[in-house]
Amino acid sequence: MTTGSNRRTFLKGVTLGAGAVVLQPALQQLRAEAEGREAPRRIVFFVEGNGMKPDHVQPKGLERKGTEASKLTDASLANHSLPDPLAALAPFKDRLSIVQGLSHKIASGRGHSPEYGSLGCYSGSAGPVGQTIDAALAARLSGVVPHLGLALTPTPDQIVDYCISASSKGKPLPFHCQPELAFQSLFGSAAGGEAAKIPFLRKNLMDHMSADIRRVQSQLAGPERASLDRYLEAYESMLDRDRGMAGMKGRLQANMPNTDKFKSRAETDRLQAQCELAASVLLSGLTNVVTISACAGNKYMAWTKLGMSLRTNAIGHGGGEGGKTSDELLIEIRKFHVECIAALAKRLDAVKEGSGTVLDNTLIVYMSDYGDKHHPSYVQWPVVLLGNLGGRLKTSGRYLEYPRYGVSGHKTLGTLYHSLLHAVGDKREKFGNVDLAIDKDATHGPLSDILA
Amino acid sequence: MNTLIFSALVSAFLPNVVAADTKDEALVQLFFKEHCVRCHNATTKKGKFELHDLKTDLAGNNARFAAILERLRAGDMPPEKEPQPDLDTLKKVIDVIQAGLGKATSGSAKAVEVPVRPGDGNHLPHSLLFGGKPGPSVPPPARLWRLSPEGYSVGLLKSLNLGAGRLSQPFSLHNEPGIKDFAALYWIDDGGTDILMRNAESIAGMLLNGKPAQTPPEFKPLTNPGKAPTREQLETVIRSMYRMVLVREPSPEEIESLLVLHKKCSEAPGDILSANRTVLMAPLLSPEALHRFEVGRGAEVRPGVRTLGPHELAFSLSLAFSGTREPGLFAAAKNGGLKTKEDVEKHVRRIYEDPNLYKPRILGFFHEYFGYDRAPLVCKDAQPDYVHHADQLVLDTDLLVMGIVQKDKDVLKELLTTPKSFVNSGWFKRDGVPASWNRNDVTLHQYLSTNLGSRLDFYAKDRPSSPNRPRDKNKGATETAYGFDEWPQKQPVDLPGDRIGILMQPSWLVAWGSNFDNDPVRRGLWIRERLLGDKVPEVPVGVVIVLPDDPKRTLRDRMKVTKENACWKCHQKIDDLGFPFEAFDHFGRPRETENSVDYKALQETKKWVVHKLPLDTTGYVYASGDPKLDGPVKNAAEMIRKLADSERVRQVFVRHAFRYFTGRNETPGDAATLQEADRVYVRSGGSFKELVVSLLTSESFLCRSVQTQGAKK
Repeated sequence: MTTGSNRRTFLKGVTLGAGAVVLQPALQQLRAEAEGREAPRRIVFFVEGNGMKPDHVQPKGLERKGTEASKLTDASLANHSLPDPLAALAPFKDRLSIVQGLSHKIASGRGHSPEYGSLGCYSGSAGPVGQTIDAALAARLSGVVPHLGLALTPTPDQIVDYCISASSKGKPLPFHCQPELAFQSLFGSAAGGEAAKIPFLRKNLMDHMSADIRRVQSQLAGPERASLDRYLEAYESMLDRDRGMAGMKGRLQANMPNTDKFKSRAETDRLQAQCELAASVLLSGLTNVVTISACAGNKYMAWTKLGMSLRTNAIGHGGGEGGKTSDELLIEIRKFHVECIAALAKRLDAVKEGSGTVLDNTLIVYMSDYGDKHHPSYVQWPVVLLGNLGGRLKTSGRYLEYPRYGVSGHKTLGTLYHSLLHAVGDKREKFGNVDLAIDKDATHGPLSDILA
Repeated sequence: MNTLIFSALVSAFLPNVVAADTKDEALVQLFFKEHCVRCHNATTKKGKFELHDLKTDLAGNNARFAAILERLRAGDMPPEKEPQPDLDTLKKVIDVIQAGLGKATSGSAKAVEVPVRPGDGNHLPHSLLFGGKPGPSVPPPARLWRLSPEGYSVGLLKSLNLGAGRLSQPFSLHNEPGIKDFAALYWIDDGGTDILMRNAESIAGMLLNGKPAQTPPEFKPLTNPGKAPTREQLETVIRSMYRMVLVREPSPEEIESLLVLHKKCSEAPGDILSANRTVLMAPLLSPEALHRFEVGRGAEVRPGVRTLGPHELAFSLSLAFSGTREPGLFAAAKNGGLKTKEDVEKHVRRIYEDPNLYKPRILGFFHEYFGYDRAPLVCKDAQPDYVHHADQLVLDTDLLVMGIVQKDKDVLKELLTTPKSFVNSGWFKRDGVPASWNRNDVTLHQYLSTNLGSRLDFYAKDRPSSPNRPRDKNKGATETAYGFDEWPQKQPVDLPGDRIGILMQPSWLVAWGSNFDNDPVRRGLWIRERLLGDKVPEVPVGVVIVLPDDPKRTLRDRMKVTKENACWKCHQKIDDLGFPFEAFDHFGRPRETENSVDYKALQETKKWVVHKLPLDTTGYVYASGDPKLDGPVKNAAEMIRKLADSERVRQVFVRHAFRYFTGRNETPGDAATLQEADRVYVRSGGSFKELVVSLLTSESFLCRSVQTQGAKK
């Protein structure tokens, strides 16, 4: 008892006063332990557009039953190698789960993405009518920046995108599209030099604007006044965020990303840069939930740096080029996405935290915002999970295929989301809307097969 | 449901309860008891509607009575399976409610819930607006309307004369069908604020970069890093910024607060140059610069009602036509020439009639009302026999619309029934130069959205617009969507068959179809909502209708699944309005049979097997609210002609125009405005210009209800 108490006192002293040492997640973890807190849990959603073909993530040597699946398949990945598109994740195979057979009809919509409905469990044509799963998890795992959205969009000039995430009804979450601008905004205060003035000037300006808005507000009432409340809230939350970041200068400096590709206009560089930024943000503790959108939400990239001139829309509709079929081109794109995810995982795995690494306390969810293909069936929604969220999920080296839609034992994607909420301590009874056309057991989580 | 409560402000000066006489009251009460209360009581509350407590106090319950009137008149209540009233009783009850409501709307204004989303505007019963003599006009309260993307880019940014058009767009509009720029839908959030701050920073940087072309002379003293500007110099710059950004002079308090900001920012770790830049940023972020402020700063019209001030009017009228700030309006506001309704009318006519003034929101209304411009958003697979150019179809219809709007005679009827069409012929100029874009790479929709500040003129070409007379000669080009084998040189041309109006244009048929097939539900819904002014409930959560996959049955036949009880209650109002368009395939091409590909046979035999199925293009108008419309129709043309002659359809069109130009749903207090607009439209022989003039000079647009001193507490 005495020893423990001394250790706790010692650690508190170290972390409060010791400059650079405070920066390392391992020591942050020790400090957390000293204060009786757990290591933070972190979640990354990597969401790609235009569908994810189930066969592209099917382990070699394991048959996917698909429309014939009548009972749960639960197999170990130990004796199976990963399919080519997932090859880059081979070093993490024992921390990986491939989940097949989930349905998500509740998100059906038009076009090539249900947009917010995919992560929100509601109709894709409804707009942002409710909280999405990443936002719900962010509310539980909040950081100085509660949720960080990073997007790859076809146009390099686009600064912000609203597409797949929402904090609540009518409040879509922004996604930074330019890594350099996101970097300035998140790490500018720690970057030093001229950038150090920015927080000071911003604070003065935002204080002035808050006062200006309040003055104008006095002339209004009802919904019109509420509209200005939102503008005021925007400044106030930015001020809060800046204040929080000012207190994290050391940790931000210790986890600066490599910015070599941050100003590049090449689509491959931009996605790699966003993943690099995501790793730094998670390691610095700025946020615990990041959503990376790789052209999710009805966007069609021409992957010129991967040797393609066709946009993903044309490829999704069966277009091939350069002697490659549509399927082969989609595999090329998927391989690249997976390499980006692997690079992100590798950075998180390189940093010690407690008795393991940051990756051990993290979950990366890799999926498409549109199920199994460009025009999906909604009854197949493959998901790849990397990490077990500090032991809260049973996701180490597993292959799960649920029975087909409508058959006993079938499950919806919403039940997986529900499981994630339970894993972070949000014990709500359901998440989003449920598919009333199928049995209640299929639509109500959490998934006992996955939740530890 | 988000609602605005209308309108506690005015009830103070609205008189007496209107009640039916005793005999009539007894009749209505008996009718409710026999036919309604069993389902619509406090316990069962079917359709979320109850009337067990409804007395014949029409003023106090006008919204509920109007809803009942709509349903009785439409004929879908009481439901078919329930005992039906005899026709004489029904007619008498309708007459009593109608008469009472006529008096009630002219004398009552109990709070009525008005949904704020544009698609929900039809929830307000039509009879509450057009059912009788309108009550007094009740303008909306003070309004705030976030700028549209165009209002920011070509309004605010262009006014700075900096070539700032390349800055990022902080605002967007929703992408759902229907009216887009609706005040209640938008606000400035964290993401938008972030972009606005970056843009403001860039603009301040441009103004102070010292380049003669961008730095106005009075800004020069702020470019010297070694010397702080004097108070006078700063004041001059602040005044200049206010004139550019807000088109007004700053108040002494505003100047003082910016001087304080400058002082704070000059202190370490800030410096003089940073402080200079920050002061220029503030007006660009002012809520007044980023919103339409319509508080009612003009003259008092009567107690509790004020007009918009000249400055407010200059912004509002400019933005009614385009994103740009129309100089004539601001000059008039400054010189005292924009105060009265007559002043406003003069300027609205001037803008509408001047061919050199850019007015994209006129065509924009028809885009948002008809929705044919959404055709490029409906993604299609490559076809073995046809090259689909959705953009071209939209341009053709644009040209047709512009021609009809220019003639300005019976505009709605012409739009619905004209036999003419442009065929692979419409095109446009961007800033006076024929536009070109790579249609394989960028859709028209994307192209236009990146050229917000451009002036677009539509014109007909004397040769096929689409360059893709397909390389494969076996494939049909755009003209085949219109029923032609060869491109017709004389344009506009009568289309083959009895093919009329926008609803039979390929662009509309594609826009309101699905990726792979026709969609009678979407087309039927469009007619139900945009022409008949009805509102069908959303599909219940979790309901997924799966059509049987049988290549030997027509779509119409397979859609019989909607005839199940739970579905049919709504689908009987939808499907039969959409089925007449089965005369076309999902590319809008006319057809004699439904050609159904048998994919299973293809898989098994590796050969294309196509079943040619007989078409049934009949339809039925059910419970429209206008008894003259109800009944069977042989085909789409017959249905559309009936609809085009309907008074109700015309009034619903006026309601949509109202929503578009005011950016909100109509309330009972707008009945006078709407009825007057409809009257003007009819009197002028169906002139869209007169309709616009009427709406923009109405109290609903020009005035605001303000709290009187007594009501404030």
